[in-house]
Amino acid sequence: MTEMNERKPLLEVKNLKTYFHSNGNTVKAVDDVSFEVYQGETLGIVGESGCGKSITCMSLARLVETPPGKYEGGEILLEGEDMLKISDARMREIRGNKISYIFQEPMTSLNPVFRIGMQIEEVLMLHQGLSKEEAHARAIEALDMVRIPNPERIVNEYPFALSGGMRQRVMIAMALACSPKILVADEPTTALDVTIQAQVLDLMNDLKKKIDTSILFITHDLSVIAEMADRVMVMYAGKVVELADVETIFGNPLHPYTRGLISSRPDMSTSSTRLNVIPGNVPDLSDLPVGCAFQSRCGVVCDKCRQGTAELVEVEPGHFVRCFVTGGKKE
Amino acid sequence: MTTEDKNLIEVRHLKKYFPIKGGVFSRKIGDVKAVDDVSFNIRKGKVMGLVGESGCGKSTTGRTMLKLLDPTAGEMVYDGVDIYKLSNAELKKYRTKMQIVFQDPYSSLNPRLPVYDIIGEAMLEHKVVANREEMMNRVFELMDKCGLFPEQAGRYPHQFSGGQRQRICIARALAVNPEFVVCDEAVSALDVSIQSQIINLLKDLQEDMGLTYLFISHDLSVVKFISDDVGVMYLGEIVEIGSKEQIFTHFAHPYTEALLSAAPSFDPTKRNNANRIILQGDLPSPSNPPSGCRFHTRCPFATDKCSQEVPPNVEIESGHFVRCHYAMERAEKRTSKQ
Repeated sequence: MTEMNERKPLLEVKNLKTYFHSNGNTVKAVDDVSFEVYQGETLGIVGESGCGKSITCMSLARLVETPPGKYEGGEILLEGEDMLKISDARMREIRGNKISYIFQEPMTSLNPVFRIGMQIEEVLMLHQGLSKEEAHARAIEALDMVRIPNPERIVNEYPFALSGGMRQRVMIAMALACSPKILVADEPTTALDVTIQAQVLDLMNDLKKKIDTSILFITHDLSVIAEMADRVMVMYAGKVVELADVETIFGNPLHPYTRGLISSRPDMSTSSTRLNVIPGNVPDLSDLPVGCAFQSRCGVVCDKCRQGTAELVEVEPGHFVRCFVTGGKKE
Repeated sequence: MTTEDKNLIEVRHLKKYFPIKGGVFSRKIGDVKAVDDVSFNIRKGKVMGLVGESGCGKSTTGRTMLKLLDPTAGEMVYDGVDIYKLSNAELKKYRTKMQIVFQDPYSSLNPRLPVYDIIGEAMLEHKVVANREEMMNRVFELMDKCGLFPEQAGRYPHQFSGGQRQRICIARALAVNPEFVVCDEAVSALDVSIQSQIINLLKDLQEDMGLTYLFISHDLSVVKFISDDVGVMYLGEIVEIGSKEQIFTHFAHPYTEALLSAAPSFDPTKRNNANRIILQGDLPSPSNPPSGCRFHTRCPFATDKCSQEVPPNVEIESGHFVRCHYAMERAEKRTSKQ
């Protein structure tokens, strides 16, 4: 971790705030989120639905629809360039080129009326100025790289002819066509079966080594995080509640929410008769309580939690926690 | 699977085919063999888990068992009676004994009914209660049991969160005092922290009321947690079935082994497991399953025999059946390794 900290981060997000305004309500989907991504690492972002993990990542390439969304503040520095300040034309040059995305639903992310090859070629022709023929050859290479059998044939197929796992590979091929600096994978295997998920995760790890891309891996599935991530960021109700390397998150989680998440999963290796439970429900983002958003579900809540929000404190090198009770500095 | 426990349910050679229609006159040109000759027993008061990937026929099995889908062939013996042979009027009596909880709590509740009608409707229909007053009392009691606030009985489904809706679905299933409940991916659509609440609720209810479950899920860790017996399905067939220990520690079918090793480990120090089997390719189409053993196209241990001969269903230990030519050898190899 220490050598990583000396390196200059590839992506720096500082105090990002993405809010949604509708019907006089303000939903703070992303509220003061800061993190860094280093060259070649995989940062896992974990949380339940509505915690802001997807909106954080969509904000990186300004994919959030405005309105109703609004970037209320903060900076997103990719190699020194602030994504929130650049022109739309420059943003289009970066999307799909320096930052690219893989989404959960491989069926709806591909255009059903264009051939697979055409959709990959478009990216290459647009960003790298290749001719149609060059792009076609590169598209076949890209499909071959993601281990699609008979790429020469598949390149001329339409998306409906492929299975879910194959479509997700096409998405990966397309996302990696321009060797992006950052690949954002938003629940890329959630819609896939477990044996297909194993294939896709294996492929992503392989490709990451080959082209040295940083990956932002968003998922609600902690076991996938354990498999893929170098560092993990846990989000709750729009805020980062804990950030540490993956061994620390699973070995020594400090925030009560992280602890609850980890202990509430039925683990394959242990057998117990009851599961630990986080009581209650995820709070409504447009109606958050004063103080800590987790207070109503927390087992160690104190008066301080009901009055103010804790800061994200570095309790040991590289391990950040946002909690009054468990986030004290270690002596 | 010990013999002293009484079987509540015996499924015998169950088949469910869906016709494929094509051509000018929409004639039948083939079948999707969603469930093809499936047999198993569920002991009274126990939980049978059914795992497999999408399209393997696990949900179709559950729905055909309750006759929500008409079976193509086979028997479903409930407490000694084959319910497929009953007339509709006779079947209605059995409907109260068998209930189902679906995956999606958003689409399985009528948005125009208040919660008390959703839960209470079946009670009146099946005359479990005599009048509306009695119905309301029972609705309140059930809501309380399922972790809902009885004072919210007048609300509509959209006013509840996903986890609460699943509690409503469970309360509805329990309204007619069933003995047997099919949980079809009942926790798959829920958030992690809510999932554990619902699993605990299902488990508590099962113990309190002595219910028997068929628990259908693609999530191995959930199935391992809740089940007593487990069946593994692949392309419409049960490839391996046995007690929880037999399936999770003494598994003999290569597909079970692949499925278990494909599930990501919860421990980051155990990643890059060298023994992991990553299956090649996708699930073949159930309308045209491979010859011989249906798994041979993806099996890392397949031989020529596997592509030609249909494997027998071998009982390698008491109650532990494996559909594989090499089941015995694989099981022996494991014991010698240990």
